[in-house]
Amino acid sequence: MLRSQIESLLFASIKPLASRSIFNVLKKSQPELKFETVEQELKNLFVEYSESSRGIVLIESEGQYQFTTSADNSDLIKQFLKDDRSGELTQPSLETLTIIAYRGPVSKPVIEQIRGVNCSLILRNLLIRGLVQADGEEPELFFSVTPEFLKYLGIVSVKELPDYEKLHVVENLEQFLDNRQAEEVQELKK
Amino acid sequence: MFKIKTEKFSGPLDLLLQLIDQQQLDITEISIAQVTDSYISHLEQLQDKDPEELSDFLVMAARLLVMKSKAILPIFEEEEIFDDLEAQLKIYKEFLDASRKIAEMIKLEKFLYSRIKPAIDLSVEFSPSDNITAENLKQSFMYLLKKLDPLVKIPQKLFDKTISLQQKILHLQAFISHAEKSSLKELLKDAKSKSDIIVSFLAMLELVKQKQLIVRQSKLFDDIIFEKNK
Repeated sequence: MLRSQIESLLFASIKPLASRSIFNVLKKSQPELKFETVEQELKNLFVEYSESSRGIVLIESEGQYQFTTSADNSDLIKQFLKDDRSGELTQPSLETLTIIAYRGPVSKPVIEQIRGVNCSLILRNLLIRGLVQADGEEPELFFSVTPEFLKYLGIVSVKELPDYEKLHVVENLEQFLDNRQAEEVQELKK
Repeated sequence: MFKIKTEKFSGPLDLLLQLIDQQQLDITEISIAQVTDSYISHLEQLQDKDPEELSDFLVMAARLLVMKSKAILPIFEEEEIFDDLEAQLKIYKEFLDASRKIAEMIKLEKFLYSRIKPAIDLSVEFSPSDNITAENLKQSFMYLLKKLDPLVKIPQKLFDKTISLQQKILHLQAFISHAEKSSLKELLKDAKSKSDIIVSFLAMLELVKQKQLIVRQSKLFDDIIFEKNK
């Protein structure tokens, strides 16, 4: 019952829906409902669609869900909608996007530490293109990829990226970032 | 000397990786120190880079020089100079490789499509609401201009922050043509920022390399005296 309600809401919505907003809608008629229950049902629905071979898939990014057409039918729908986008990004944008996809939510200083170069302009461009989103308040902004990014790549979740688990938590990287942070603190003390 | 086109690398780490790769070396501290000279020679091609980015390239040059001097002068080993450039380079390479895979995925153009808002049929007409007055429009426009201020002003600040290496070399050449003999302390007297100091030092090294300058230092951490090479 709950699962079918959630499915209908997702179908009726034009924008990706956050689990929190789905919960808020349902709570109005079901005051007893728990947020965790909604989250769990969303996960079940996600698995259900991942395992099916239908023309519609459910994508998930940072707790936002959306129904899309499946990657198998991309060419057909591209033709039908007369979509003339091309699959190309500049090298700096790609690098930045990759770091955000594997490490998100990630702060600008960390992205710049990995790339070794200032990323302000590139981040702004990616924000404008809707491929990344920034949450939090300046200067504590955290960047993550959007459902739009998933749709661009043809995957339902960042977990489908090659070597996701390996690059999501890179042991060397955690240590490296810790060292850099310790250094900065020391410099401030001086 | 290996030539790499400026547009072909996306940052100092990318340039460094390409230089190491071209000499078919593994990523180690020693191989990083080996490509320092070619790295610095590539800085000249960077004049038209965005100033903020250029300073990142210069900071990297300074890190390389510290690493290289550490390799040459055993005296430094006692000190705790710890630069994890090797680790940073390896991590960067992991993400660079991943970004190539992502590029391949995007190239397949397997876009997913979600529902789109139906286009609403609107007839165009001009129907301003009552509160749109000349005064209100002016207020809104002024407000908008004010919001743009930080966007316009920041680049100028960034620009001021960065001093081009070439400019510094010219400055240093002029400096010694007046003075014949001077010291690093004297040269850095008017330095405004860390990157200013780094660039001045790089400029001095460059002129030593070009045999225009001779430098002397009587003991460790003493002031560096330099004079024109006649």
